[in-house]
Amino acid sequence: MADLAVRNDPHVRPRLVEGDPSLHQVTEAVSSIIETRTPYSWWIAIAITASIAGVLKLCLGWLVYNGIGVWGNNQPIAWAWDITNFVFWIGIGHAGTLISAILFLFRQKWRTSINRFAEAMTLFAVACAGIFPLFHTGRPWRAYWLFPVPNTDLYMWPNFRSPLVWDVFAVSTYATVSALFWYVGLVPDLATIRDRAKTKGRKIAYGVLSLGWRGSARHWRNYEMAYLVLAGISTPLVLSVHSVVSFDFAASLLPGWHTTIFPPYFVAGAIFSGFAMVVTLMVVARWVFKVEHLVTMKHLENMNKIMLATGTVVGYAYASEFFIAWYSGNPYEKFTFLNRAFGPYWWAYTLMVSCNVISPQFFWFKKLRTSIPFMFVISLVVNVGMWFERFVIIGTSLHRDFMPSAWGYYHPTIIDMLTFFGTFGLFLTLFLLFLRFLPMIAVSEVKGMMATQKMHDAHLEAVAQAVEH
Amino acid sequence: MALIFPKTIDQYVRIGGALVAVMALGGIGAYVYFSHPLVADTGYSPVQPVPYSHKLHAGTLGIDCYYCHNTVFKAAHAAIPATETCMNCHVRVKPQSARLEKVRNSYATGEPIPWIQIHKLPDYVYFNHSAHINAGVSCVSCHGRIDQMMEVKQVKPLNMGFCLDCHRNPAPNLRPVEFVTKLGWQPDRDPEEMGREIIAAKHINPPTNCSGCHR
Amino acid sequence: MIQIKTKQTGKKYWRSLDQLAQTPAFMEWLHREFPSSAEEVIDGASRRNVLKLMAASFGLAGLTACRRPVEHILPNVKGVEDYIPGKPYFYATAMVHNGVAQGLLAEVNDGRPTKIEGNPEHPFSLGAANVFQQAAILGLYDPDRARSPRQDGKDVDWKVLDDALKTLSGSLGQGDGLRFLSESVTSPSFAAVQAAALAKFPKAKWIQYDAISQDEVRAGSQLAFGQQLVVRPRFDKAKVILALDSDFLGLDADTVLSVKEFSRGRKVAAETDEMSRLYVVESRFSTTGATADHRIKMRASEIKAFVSDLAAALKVGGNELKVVGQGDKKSKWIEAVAKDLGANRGKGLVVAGPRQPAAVHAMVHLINQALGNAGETVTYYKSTLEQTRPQLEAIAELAGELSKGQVSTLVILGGNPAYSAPVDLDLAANIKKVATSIYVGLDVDETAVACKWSIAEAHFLESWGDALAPDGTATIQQPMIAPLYYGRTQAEIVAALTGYKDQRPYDIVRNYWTAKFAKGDADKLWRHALHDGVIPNTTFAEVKPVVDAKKVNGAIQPAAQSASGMELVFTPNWATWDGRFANNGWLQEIPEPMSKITWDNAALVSPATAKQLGLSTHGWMVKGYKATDTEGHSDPTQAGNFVDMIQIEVDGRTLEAPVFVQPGQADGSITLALGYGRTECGHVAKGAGVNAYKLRTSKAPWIVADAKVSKIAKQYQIVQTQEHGTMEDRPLLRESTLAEYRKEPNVIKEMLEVPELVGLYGDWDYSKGNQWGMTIDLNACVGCNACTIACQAENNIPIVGKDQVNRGREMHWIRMDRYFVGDEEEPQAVMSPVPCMQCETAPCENVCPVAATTHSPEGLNDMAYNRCVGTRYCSNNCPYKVRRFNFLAWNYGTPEVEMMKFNPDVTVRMRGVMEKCTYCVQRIQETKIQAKLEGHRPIKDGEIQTACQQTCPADAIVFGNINDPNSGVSKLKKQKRNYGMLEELNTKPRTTYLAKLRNTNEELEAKHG
Repeated sequence: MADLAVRNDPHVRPRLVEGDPSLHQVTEAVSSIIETRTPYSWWIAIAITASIAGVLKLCLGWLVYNGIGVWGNNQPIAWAWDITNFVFWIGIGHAGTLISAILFLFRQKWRTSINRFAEAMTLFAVACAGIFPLFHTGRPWRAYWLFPVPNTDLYMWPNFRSPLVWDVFAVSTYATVSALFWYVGLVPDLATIRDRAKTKGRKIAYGVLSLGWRGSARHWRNYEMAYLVLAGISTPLVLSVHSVVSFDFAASLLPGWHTTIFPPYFVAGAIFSGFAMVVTLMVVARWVFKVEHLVTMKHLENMNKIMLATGTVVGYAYASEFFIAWYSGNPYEKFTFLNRAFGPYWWAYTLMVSCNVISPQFFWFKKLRTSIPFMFVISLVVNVGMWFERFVIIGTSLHRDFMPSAWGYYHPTIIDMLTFFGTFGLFLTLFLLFLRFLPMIAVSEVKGMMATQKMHDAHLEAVAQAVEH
Repeated sequence: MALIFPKTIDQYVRIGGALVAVMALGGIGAYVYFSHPLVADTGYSPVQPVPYSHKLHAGTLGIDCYYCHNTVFKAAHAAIPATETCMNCHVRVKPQSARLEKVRNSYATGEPIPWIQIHKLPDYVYFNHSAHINAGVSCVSCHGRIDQMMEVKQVKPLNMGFCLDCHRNPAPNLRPVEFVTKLGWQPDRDPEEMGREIIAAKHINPPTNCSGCHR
Repeated sequence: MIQIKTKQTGKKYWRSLDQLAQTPAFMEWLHREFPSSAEEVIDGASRRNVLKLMAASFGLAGLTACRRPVEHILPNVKGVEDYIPGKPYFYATAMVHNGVAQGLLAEVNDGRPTKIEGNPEHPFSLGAANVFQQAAILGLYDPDRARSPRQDGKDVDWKVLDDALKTLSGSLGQGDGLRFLSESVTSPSFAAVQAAALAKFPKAKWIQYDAISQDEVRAGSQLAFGQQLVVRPRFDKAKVILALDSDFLGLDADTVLSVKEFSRGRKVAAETDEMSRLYVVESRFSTTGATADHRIKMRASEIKAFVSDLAAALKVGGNELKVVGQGDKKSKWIEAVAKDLGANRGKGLVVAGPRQPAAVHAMVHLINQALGNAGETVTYYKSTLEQTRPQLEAIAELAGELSKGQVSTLVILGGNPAYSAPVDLDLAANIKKVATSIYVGLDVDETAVACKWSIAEAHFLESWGDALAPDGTATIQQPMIAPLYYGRTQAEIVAALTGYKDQRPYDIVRNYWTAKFAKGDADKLWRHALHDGVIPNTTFAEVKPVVDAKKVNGAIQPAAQSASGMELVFTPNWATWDGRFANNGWLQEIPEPMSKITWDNAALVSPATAKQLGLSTHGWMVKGYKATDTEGHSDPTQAGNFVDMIQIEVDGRTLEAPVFVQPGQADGSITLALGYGRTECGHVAKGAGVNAYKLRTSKAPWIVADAKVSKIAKQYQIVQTQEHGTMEDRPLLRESTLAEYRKEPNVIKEMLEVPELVGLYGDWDYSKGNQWGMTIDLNACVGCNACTIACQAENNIPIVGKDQVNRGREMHWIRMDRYFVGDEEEPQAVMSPVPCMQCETAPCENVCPVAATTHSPEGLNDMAYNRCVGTRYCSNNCPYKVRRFNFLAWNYGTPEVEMMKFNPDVTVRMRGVMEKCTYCVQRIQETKIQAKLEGHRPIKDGEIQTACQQTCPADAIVFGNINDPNSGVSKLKKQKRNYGMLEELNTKPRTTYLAKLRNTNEELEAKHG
């Protein structure tokens, strides 16, 4: 009862795993999810998401057959939803790597329950993002020319001065490393599943996947090392990828694009949207799969705090952009930003600011920060806002640039919309598969973390005794 | 509970992995090789409607290329001769030959002979014969020893790399204009050196920028 | 001749790029997919079922691996004398436009005409050509042209027709009830045939009628001089020009010469140079008005009063100053102009437009005479082909005869009168009353449908003919290709009917002229005529007439002003002229110079009038064409350009028309262009615009004094290529006044101070060899669009159709920019072509991931279509937005015959690739090779002409080697007027502009602050 008193003491950190489950219970909690018979609800869910993904496939086929004209893109708005969606998805991808790599290096224990989940999300988001650079080209079957493929036929290399080529490298590296990182982390848990497997099929499948993991001390040592190294490699990627993506714009001369603030601004935005997406999914998943005791309010709250921070950074970026536009004295720059806020796209701009800057401010209040429904709504709002941020940057800068005679306006077509909608289908389908066949929580890591927590408790007990006497 | 995959399997996995890697590389290499124009395009030698032998006419009889392809010095196209050109001789030479049936018909009816094009550049490439011939690039550089071919065959890849090689270093392929149609001609001195002299004399600097060939 | 079959069609390009669409099945499928580039491209496709599409779209990968297909080469059977396959040849010919001939050169590639140029030898072309002439190529290959004779709407064999004609000509006897209806006869040889016909059938009548007739002009000359004279203004000699409702630089120009001569008077090399001054009074904001130094808007019906006031102010003619305009802006204006004209006796010039009544023209003659301009800046000729009978009167009489059934045989020679004749004559119905009606025309149009017989006419590029230039210079029209559909010429048909001595068009023309030549060297002279395109010493006799001042003053007494009613003015238009070019996609898609509307006509009204009519005027226009962005919907860019519609009523006939608010339009005056709303026409013309002829009566063919106008509850989508009217105070197209420029020549440069500019990458050395550059003289440019179409023809640029233009996907490599400047009451405009600037430090180049656009050593911004993957990054990064992207497969399914238009020297682009102006690099390369073949000689200045430069009537575009200090372009670039657009971005554009100067009259200065 004493330790109870201590537990309720606000000065003591809340626990990352609640209700003292035994190690076995943890394993059970996570593994059982994928060992029980597939529930009908899952079939229904994946049926829906898969058909949405099918819509995506149709749209892309339609696009490849007819040409970019099936979208609303035009002169001057040659990039529109295509690149917007690309940046949007890439951005979402960021939370994963941040959680797994950076928080790992900072020894943030609370990451353990959510990193697996977040990394998976990263991969799937990057997969969705990858669609657009390929299919936004007029002749996708020639897009491989963007890669430095040695060709004795043409004697042609890519133009390494072009930010799009940098993109190719940045994104593909990012995808590869995150995939590796994620998989390495999975290996011990896969082995656990393998060992618990009842049927031969599962034994073989997970056997292959777990790469002969036997949990020997040597394995663990190599594992820890590999994990650390990969964490080290991917840490700079968190910053580099979206910086490079932002170069697509920053390296051009378009007012509203040609801005030095872009790299940090984009990275912040990316983490912002990434965490929003994690919260959205996590809130649902922990409830559905009854793992509230592993993914606790503490985790969610921390993520909300990060959203509050990055959201504010983004807000600052908006403000400083405006200030510089005025301060620089460049008439085109000035016009572009006034046009953003008060021009034909004022609605998009307003939406962006209210979603990204205002809405996260509610997280200053612990009550709201820890309210599941509220954070769920906010996380959705933020994702909407972040999509609009990209659209505002791309659309409003392009539609009125230097030559008023060439000004235009952008109207999305149904194909535009369905394509974007379809990417969510793909994203969720992959996610459902992940939830069904892989341990959504890094069991081994959680256990490791619990060990330390136990010692911590013992210490608290001692203190409590001392107080009584 | 017994493991399905005993420890000993690791080595097989390693070997298997290595094999897969090797095969993948091999596949890529094969694709690059077989898709290369050098392999894909050279050797194209369709059967022509009339069994015309360059070996006989240009080689044995020594008729100058220019006699039939008479626009090469003036125009972009190296004109395929009119049926009339064949008949100039063949009204007297072998007027009855069965193999000339089609030619005679064409001459009588006015129906052109459907020759099959062998050396063909994509439509977005604008090659000009006169520019090259007058600079001293011989027919042989791109068409090979036509005068030794029974049936004409493409012997050079004629891809962009092939063009660029020469455009970047034309010297080896240059000769005095009077010899451009002498396919077998060999200079009596170092061809490189002679080439450089011609370049100097004619201020030859072949374009290597896009619009040199693509318009 | 050699023809590598697919070469001409440009189809091989697809294959060679991607092996795409090789199988016939696939081809045929595509043909069905995209019936015509003019139609909405998606539309066809959206009917396809999805699975097939999936298969196709992902099957592409497979296709790429195909072995290359068998290509046949079909050489000539018999050699053709001095003909070299693949080499273009140029022949002189002529096109008749607005009743006069203009000499042309046609480029013929392997037997197919592919490009029209002006004929430098021809006195009224001097190498230039206008939009209609440039677009003639597309007209020739129009797949919707009439392809055979038709009897009662059914195609019949030519044999049938010939027999019918034979029997008919036998049965005509004295020619009772025989009527010929043609447009103005402008061909001497045809006139001879005509004379013969009337001789053979003495009772027959020959009526001439043009929809855009010069009746009033003739009447004016009759009134002033007592005889019909051809008026020939000399704009190059005039120092002060006053244009009264005369768009002499645009739609009222009969040949390009008026622009050429005018621009000569506007060229300013040194600050000290003289420059002519142009005053314009007009109801519609025309390109002439935009070019003017001073312009006031005025209802067309008030011009009469204006000119008589002017006469009074000049002390010519006996009238007092009218109350109209006294003491107000107008009279102030009149005084100033009168003073200016008076001060420049013999160096002034007054011209009036063909819409103005005879009295105005007569008064203009009087003024020109009184000011001693006659004989100096304006000369008069006695035409050999004069029409004594007013056309309206004649056709009205014909209509009467038709309705009374007095006509048994009616032969209509072109002109589509059933569509274009005054509506009250109801010609279409009356023609049906005739027993035998024969129509000779290019298309199966309204008249063809009304007639028993319709005969496919030969296009002017297919047939022999001749015509007279305005001053009578005889011009020979040579065919460039045998009639594609065995069409006949008008002369041929009449000759057949009348058993004329010559039956073949060639004989008709040749024998007519050789008979005039000296016996011996007739052949030689004839061959010369063919070569030059003109026959020397054939000009009309010049006369020095005297104006009957009394009569003129009597006539000018202006009718009571109907200031109350809404005035309706008809004009020809830039796309279809009087309707004849309606099926020409190039012309339909060219934006109307002032309103920038394509694919439609609209009732143009002033902002004030629009308010008065309660029409939803786009906010941006009412507020002086400034974008009122905050109220988003009011910006047409978002409204999708949906505009209100009005109903116009004239004499009980009504027409519903979309309204377009045009700054500079006279209040209380509506301008409606003729030539739209065709019903019997090809698929391009279908649904384009409204038919203004439905309101055009023989009573008021040009100006309807009071039309009843009411707003109706309908909206209509108007599509523009440029929606934003103001320059947002950016120094893009710069202008100043002559006085200011003389005072401070640097005023142009000082409009923008550029900081020290530093490039990220090192500067390339452009000091050696040819370095191509261009200047565009805003002072000369009149915004006629000729360059845009010339470019379109030269570079195989597709059209995209109304819907795609609305989506902002038009493909013109040269965008014609039009910005309004000055105050909102009396706006002025500045116009200029904007092609690729060929920046030395091109922003598009370093962002292209595949290096598809790179710089050539000669300073060109090369574009390798076959390398482009279509990321469109270059377009985003182009500050001038002059790159064009093939959003869809514009060129798929071009009908076989239309493919003959393609220029074999330029790649036909597939969808998914970027394209742009290349300074006509194909011409540069050809000339360079030619120079090499001629012993590596240097390229002469002016030897290479870009398509836009060559056709520009104003010589506003100059191209050449900027490394040669003596080249024309280098000299121009040294001028103080020279500036680079957006040069502050350090793009170092090779195309620079020479600022516009307005030679303002300080007395009127205040108005245009």
